[in-house]
Amino acid sequence: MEWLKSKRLPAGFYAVFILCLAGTIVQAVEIYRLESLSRAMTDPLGVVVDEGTPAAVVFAKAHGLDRAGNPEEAIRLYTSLRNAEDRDLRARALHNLATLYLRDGARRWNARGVLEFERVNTLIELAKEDYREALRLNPDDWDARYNLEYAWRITPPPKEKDKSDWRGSKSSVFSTLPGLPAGGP
Amino acid sequence: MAIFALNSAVLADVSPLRDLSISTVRDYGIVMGETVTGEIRAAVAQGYELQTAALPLPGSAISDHLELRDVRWSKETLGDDSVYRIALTYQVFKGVREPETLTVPALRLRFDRGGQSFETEVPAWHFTLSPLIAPAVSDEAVKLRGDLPPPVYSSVSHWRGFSAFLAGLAGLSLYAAWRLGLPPFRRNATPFFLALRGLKKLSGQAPGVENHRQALRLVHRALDETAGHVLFAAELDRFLQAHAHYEVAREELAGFFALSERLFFAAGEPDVPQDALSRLQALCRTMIAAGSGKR
Repeated sequence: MEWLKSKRLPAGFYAVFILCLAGTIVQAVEIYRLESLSRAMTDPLGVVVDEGTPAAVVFAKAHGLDRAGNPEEAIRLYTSLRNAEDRDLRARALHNLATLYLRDGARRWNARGVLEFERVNTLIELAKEDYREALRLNPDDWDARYNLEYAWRITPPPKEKDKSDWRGSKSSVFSTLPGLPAGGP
Repeated sequence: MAIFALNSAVLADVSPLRDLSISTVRDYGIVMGETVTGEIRAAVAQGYELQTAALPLPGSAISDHLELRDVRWSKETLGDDSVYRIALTYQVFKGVREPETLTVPALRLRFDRGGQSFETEVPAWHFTLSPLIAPAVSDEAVKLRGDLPPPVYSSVSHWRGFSAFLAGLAGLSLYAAWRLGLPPFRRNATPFFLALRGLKKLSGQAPGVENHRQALRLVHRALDETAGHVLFAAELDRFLQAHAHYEVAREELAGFFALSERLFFAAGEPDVPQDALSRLQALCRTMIAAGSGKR
């Protein structure tokens, strides 16, 4: 305990002090960031999205837009999160994007069936691809598994080819070939 | 656990491949999007090395419905053999209306030893894929699962960290204050500082001879502590030579010793000046100031 009586502080003191100071600053910055994020996410529709908008706020706005009946804009925002750094957020965005496609595709399929083959097929394929990607990122997403299976169920069968309406009058295509001009060598 | 073992007896005695089997934790009840792992156990003659570069890469599509998610392998020596365990994790992407058997295609493994090499084929194996949606439910009756809500970001863990670091800082600051004698500890306050504090307390009490004697004792104690021994009036010169910075208080110190002489050793009732306590306080302040000037 003799060293305790000396007036000088041990060298380790400064290292621990700096560590604690740095830790306090880092935690304070993180708290500020999360509190700001949470504040912005409570009213996401009021946020003007630009390049600097945090991905979580973009997600919240897309979610809010879908709820407010604007799926087109929601799709645009979710699509912008395809390459988000946050893996969990990326998986969620892909899940919701796929759900938007599938919801539209299922509605059309149940209403008009193969009559909307092109549209339904495109929507279902987009949904399947996004669900697959969401499941690659998070294989435990049971809702994505369920919806993807449903997408498989309602995948339209390949549309039959339209019958050709060409009617040839010649007995052979060779008969339509021009012959050598008369008087040739 | 399902094990698909190849009969070792069919492997020629001279074959460097001693044993080959595939096992999986579960080969039934697999559903859409689930991962299924097949572990290959290959025992080969010692010295043969598995050519891991020839293994399929994670992320590659194995068939229309299977993607390879992960490849891990390990090697251990068992007697004269090297045993390789290769775990391949596949993810299933196929929707079915009724249970269906899917096949994991055969896989070729290559082993090298010096200039020698041999290849072996891990046979295809199967598992049962089951539907998640009851087969009896019509497509129109299936209720889609909804979208996912935005993630919730909680700062609770950061508040905990912040509190812990802040507590650490507070503790370190208190420790430093204690070590350096800074407020609130003032452990290293000069003896005259402590004496002054005692005098202030005494000044609030009823005046009297005993009160003044107590005040003198406080200053004596401070002087003794500073000198390192009991300091008598006769030693004042030597004390001031040793502590030249206190020279400014020579007269006050001489007055103090004279007062002390009167109060402790004079016969009869001593004559105590009215301002004795305040003069002692002034002496202490002078000594504190002189001492801090030295520092």
